[in-house]
Amino acid sequence: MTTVLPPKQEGTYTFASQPRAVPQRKKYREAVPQNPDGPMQYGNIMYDRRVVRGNTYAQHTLPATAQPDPIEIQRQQENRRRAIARKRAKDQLRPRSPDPVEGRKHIDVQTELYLEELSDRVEEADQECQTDAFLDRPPSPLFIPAKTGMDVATQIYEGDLFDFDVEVKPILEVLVGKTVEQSLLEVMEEEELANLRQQQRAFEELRNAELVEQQRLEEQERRHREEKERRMKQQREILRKEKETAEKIAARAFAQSYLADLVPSVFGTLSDNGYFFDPVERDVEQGFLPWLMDQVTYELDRSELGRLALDGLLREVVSKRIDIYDALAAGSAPASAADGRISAAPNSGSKEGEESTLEKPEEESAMSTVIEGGEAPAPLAAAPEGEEEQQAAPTEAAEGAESGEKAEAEATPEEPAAEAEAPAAGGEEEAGHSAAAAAATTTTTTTKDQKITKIQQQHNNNNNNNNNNNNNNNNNNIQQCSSSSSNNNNNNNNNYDKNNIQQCSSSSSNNNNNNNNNNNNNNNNNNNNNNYNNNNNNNDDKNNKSTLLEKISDQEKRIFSERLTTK
Amino acid sequence: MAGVVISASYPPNIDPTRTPLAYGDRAIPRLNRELNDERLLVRQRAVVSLCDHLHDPEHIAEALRNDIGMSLKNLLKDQDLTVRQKATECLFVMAGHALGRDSFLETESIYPVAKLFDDAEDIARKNAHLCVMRISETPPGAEGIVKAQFVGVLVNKLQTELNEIKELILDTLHFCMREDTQCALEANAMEAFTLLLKHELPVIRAKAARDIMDLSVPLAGKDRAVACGTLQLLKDMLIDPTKEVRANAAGAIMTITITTKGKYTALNCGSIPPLVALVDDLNSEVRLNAIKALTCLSEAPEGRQKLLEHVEKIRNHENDHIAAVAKAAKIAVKVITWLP
Repeated sequence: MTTVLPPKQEGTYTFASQPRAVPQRKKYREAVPQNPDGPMQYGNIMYDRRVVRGNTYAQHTLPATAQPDPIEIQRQQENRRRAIARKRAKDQLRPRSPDPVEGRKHIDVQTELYLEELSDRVEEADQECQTDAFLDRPPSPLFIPAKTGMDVATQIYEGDLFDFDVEVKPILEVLVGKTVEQSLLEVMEEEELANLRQQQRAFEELRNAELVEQQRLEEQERRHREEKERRMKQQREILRKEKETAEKIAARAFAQSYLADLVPSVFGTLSDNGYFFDPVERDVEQGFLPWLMDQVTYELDRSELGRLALDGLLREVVSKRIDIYDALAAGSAPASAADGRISAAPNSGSKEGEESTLEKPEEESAMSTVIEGGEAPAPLAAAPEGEEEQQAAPTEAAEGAESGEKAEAEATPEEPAAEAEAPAAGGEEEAGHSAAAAAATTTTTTTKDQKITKIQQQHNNNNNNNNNNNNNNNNNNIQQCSSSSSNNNNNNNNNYDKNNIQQCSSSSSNNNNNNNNNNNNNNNNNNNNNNYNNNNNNNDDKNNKSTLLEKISDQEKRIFSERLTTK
Repeated sequence: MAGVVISASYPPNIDPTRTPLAYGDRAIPRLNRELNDERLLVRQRAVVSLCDHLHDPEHIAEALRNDIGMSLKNLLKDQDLTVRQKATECLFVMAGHALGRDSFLETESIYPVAKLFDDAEDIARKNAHLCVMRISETPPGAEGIVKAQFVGVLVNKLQTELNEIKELILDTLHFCMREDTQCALEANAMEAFTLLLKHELPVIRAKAARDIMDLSVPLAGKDRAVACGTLQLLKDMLIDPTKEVRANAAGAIMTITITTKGKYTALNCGSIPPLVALVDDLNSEVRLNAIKALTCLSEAPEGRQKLLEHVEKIRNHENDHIAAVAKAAKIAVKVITWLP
């Protein structure tokens, strides 16, 4: 709805508005009142404020000139303003009563002494009237048109539509049938399974029984068979043993008879070769006689020396006497008497020497040699000296051995065969030192050393029962065995080859058994055994594990064989 | 008045847990399709209906023709418990028939089923074991299980499982051992069975004794049994009230006492008196096994000596109505009265 207020220029009034439809008037108020401030929507022209009412000729009209004087207008405005301001100021000056409380209004009240009847005032009474609150629109009731037409009824009695029993049968049959079938199936299934099980069980029973029977019979068979085999084996063993014994006996008898005369022949040969000797005789032959001869030679030499001295004396005496006689017998002196004496002097001297020597047939030969070899007294003198020294050495050694408790008696047999083997036949020196710091019993026995030129030193310190068995069958072996400390050191060193340098030093601890059996050439064995508690060191080279005794027997065998071959 | 509208949903009384079967020979193909559906609900319902449907052998044949085996195998790996459980149940039902067993072996469904042995839910495990047990009853099935090396797994499960499942495992092992005892021995089955001999349930005791009997058939088993001290426990079981227990205990004794060592161990335990008492038992299997056990024991001289007193009792059974018992009695009498 648009209304356009026309500018008030002409005296006419125009009004134009867009045509609009008349709004429907609602019976009930709406929730929100519309447009409280806008111009009221009038329908009546008489109530429209815009319509001029009353006399129109007395109205304020605008002056002819359309354009009012701006100064006039301004002045009028000012006047108006002033008036308003005056009024306001007056109002303000006037004492007022305070503003009324909310919801009330002031009213004039007569406060003079004499009240004045107000006749122009109408008696008022407030009367209120209030409509009920607006209710919401109730739902429209169901429109049920009035019943029209004829009533018709119909009724289905039993048996009209269908016969239940008849109709239900097939359905029921199907239902029940299916159910029963299903359940039958399941039950049959289970029955079948149960039967299967039953059969299985029966079968299993039988099967187990049979199985067990079979196994039992197997077992039985096995046992019987084993028993039989065992018995047979036993029998066979017995037979075999018998046969073996019989054979052994036969072999023994035969061997006995065969070897019956082996022993005598062996002994015969040995004794022929001189292996069985009377030790006393041998000793006498070898030790005593040379010594005797030496002594004899010594004595003879001494006697010769004496005789020579005597000869010298005699010669001097004789020569002096000759001189004297010459001097005396410058004239005459018999010179024949002096020659006789001179010749008699050496003889007497020799005879004296003879008496002084021992009485043995060999001595004479020795004497004769001494006398005849009188030209070389020096080497002879030297020889006995050497022999003396030699003799001194073994005697010293003997003394040493006696004093100390280590006796190394070495018998050197003078077999030619043995000497043939020995290229360097030197003297043998052995020095045995026994540091008897601890006065313990140390016995060292060296058995049967048959080779020469060995330098052997043994240092045994701190010893309890040191048994050093050294079997050296070699040439040029240098062996040092130094076993120190502790108890029970058994050093068995068997060396069978040439050029054998062996050092065994076992120190400390208890019970060191060092068995060194070396059968190699040129082997240098340095066995330093610092062991504790029962160390048995058996060094066997070349698969030789023979015992000491066997070694000895081997040794003897070897020598024997060598003897045989060289013989 | 009710509305006359053909409703799209099913009538309210139908079992919501299963799909209705389509008519005739559309049933199985539709079920097969639904089994492989992606929606869980559809699968569940399909497998439940299938399970009931398969009780009929003809249906099994048809189902297998439609390749249900592969679908079921895939379902075994499903996430949902119901599907798994019902699928194993289907397999279990199918395994009751030869066709089903064959298809099981062909599709090699043993592997996913065996994975279910470790399932968290009891019902799935139980069904899986049921299925495997049925399968093992047939020789190819037992062979398949042995070849897939599940014997060891099963023996281990014996320790930890529930009683019902223990029963099933014992049955499975019984059949497997008919095929091959080697892997069971290696898996220490003898010790496991010996432990179970003391179980409170008589069924489990009986089955354990039966399994021991099977396991003792080879020589290694016999030695192992003697080593584990089984004979003592078996002897105690001879006086058990349950007849299966007695029968199986006697059976186990009879297999173990074939070796000399077993014989003497049994004699030392004093097993002759209870065995003699069992000879007159009502149950034929008990009698049979007892007589056989006595036969084995009488191979040893000491046994023979003791049994000479009881020969008469055994002779009475030579006319027993069960043929096997009669025969066994005759053999026993012969062995007892044997002279070297």
